[in-house]
Amino acid sequence: MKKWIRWPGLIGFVVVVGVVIALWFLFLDGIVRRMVEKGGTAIVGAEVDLAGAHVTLIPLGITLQGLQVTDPQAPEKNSIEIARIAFSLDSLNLFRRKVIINEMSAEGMRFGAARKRPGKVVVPPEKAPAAREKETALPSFTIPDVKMVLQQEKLESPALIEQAQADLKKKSEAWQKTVASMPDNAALDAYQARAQKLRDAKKGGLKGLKDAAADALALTKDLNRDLDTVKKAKAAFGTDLAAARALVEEAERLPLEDVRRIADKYSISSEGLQNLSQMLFGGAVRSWIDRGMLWYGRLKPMFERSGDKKGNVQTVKPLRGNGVDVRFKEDRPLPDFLIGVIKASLQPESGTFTGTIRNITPDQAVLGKPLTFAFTGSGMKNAKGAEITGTLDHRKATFPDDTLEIAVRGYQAAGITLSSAASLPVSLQEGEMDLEVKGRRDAKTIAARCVARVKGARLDTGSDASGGAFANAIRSSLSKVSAFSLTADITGTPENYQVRVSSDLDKVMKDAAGSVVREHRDRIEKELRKAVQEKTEAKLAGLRESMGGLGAQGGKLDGVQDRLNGLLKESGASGGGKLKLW
Amino acid sequence: MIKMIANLLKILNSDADPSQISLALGFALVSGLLPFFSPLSLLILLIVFLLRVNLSAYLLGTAFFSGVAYLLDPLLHRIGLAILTAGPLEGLWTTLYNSTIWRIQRFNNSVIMGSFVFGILCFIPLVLLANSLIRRYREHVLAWVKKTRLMQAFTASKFYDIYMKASGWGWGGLS
Repeated sequence: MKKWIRWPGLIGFVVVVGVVIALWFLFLDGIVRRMVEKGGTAIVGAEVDLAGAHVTLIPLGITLQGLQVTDPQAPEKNSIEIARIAFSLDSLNLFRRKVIINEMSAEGMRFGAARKRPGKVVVPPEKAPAAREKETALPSFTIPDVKMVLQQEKLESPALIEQAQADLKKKSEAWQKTVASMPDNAALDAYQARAQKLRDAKKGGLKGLKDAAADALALTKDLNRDLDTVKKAKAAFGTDLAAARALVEEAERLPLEDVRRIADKYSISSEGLQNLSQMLFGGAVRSWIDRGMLWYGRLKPMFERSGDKKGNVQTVKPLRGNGVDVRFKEDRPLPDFLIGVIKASLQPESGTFTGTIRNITPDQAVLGKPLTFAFTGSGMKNAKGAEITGTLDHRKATFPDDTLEIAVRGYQAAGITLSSAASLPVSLQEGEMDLEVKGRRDAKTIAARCVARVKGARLDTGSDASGGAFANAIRSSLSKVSAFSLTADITGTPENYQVRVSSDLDKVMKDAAGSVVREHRDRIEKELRKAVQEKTEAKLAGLRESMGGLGAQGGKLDGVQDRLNGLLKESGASGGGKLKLW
Repeated sequence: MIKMIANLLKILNSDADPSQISLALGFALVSGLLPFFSPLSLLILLIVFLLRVNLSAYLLGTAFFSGVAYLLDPLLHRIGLAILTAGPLEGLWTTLYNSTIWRIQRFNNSVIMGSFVFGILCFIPLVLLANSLIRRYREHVLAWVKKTRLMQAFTASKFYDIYMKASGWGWGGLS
């Protein structure tokens, strides 16, 4: 046994472990700094920088200085800067791998501050889908050259008319075959001859009458069979003819739809004229909301953790690391990560703006409390007062319930871009704004209303006059506006929501630009109609001709039916005469 | 890499007891599969220092099995998850989960549990296999290898210089 034990090894072990611990302490501050930068970058998707970190062991606490979070959508700016963050950790729970921070203070918060150099964007922000871009695109207000427009825009009607014509031709050919399979003139003449023979037999005495009765029965049977076939074919033909007529009517409408679609793109429809604010400001409002939703998604791991639960056992993905952590029922349940309260304050030059965020944990179900936040501002330079409150309740992961309320009074707005459309940029240069936001989001729906009331407003609409008469009319009307309100209603599902913007500016803009828009629209429609007609006229004529061809097959069927009916009558008369004799 | 191979040859060709080398490789397997900074790794390191096992083989083996662990992660995760979610063991895990000492081990992580169980199960087979292979190598291959022209040319090469340097380090032969 002694041979296997190496007692000096104990000293070696103590030395090795001692050196590792000493090195760890020596580089601990750097390790924490890199962990914050790496973890933060992974969550935000853009560079996170930390000027310094300091760890104290007794009591266990961490102080972070100069935290900068790059804005993924504008890397030359920081979405948030925090001068100092300090907190102490519950060391006993740390041994149980639970990060419990009872209180954290964040001082010197600033939003949107410029960076010394642009930050790296690790995960590029999601691009707006084409449908959304279309929704917020502003049409050109200059009268476009219709030839150029038709080169750029694909007309759908010619192809659809050609398709309709091909369908009709196919049907017509099918019916030609069907009609050809009906009794032809030779067959009908043969029936005629048989009927004549019956009439002649009536004059041939008793024997002739007996033979004629059998022939008359056979002829009537044959005629009825053919007549049934023709009747069935006619019924089917009637259905096909009605469908073909509908197809032709639809095809005749297609050029007009092309005209309307293209005109909508290059001018404003009457519906659009009623709600110009949606067209002008919808894009900007949508981008603000999209940005909020993007941050909500990025911060979601901080208040909701994904995982599967089977009985008393739950598997949860660790915030970082490999594998999954399996949780078992705890005697005294505590979340794996918890910040009890963050006391935050904004930069002093912004006035007094303080707030608290409570219960930050991805394990709300374990804690039994939702994340809440409340910020109040007073005596600020740029606003008379502000209140932000909200709850992110994810205690039941399948039934989240989030609410947000923002009320800002007397905000001195300056340089807010309301529309970035090249043809008609609109920005609020100055004005006193009252803002109210109320929103709610659950698993299936999102509903929010945002109302901004501005007084003492000065709107800038740019100096570029290339937008034409419409833009000039809008510019002129907006330059006279001194007070207005803007309402954005957000409805839909969290994955697909719509933003409707309305404003009392609508009436002002409609009155100013209504006649210009209508005149513009009429001119475009007229020119487009002419151009589209030239491209589709010949095709429509061909379609109508095909329709005529199909109709002719119906005439042939009618002719066959009429002759068969006549022959049936004739054979009935021949047979009937004979029967009367009996 | 050349140094590593040189070290391996040095260990195999040394006079160290094959059981000391194979036992070191067994411990290296468990250490290599577990995360570097874990209390269990520390415990194994203590055992390795206390027991008369070949330290060079342990360090070399740990480096090798750490690399293997990355490839085996998906398998180890599955094994660990199956063990941790096995109904009959739920009571045991729940008791351990409520104990701070065990929580420090992070036994409830699927990869750590999988690595530990896999390491323990493979420990004895690996020790026996390595022991047998080292003995066979020394009995049958070593003498033949030394006689080959290739080996003779090799002893005159730069590689052999490195090998000789490694021989002189001293710690490499610590046993």
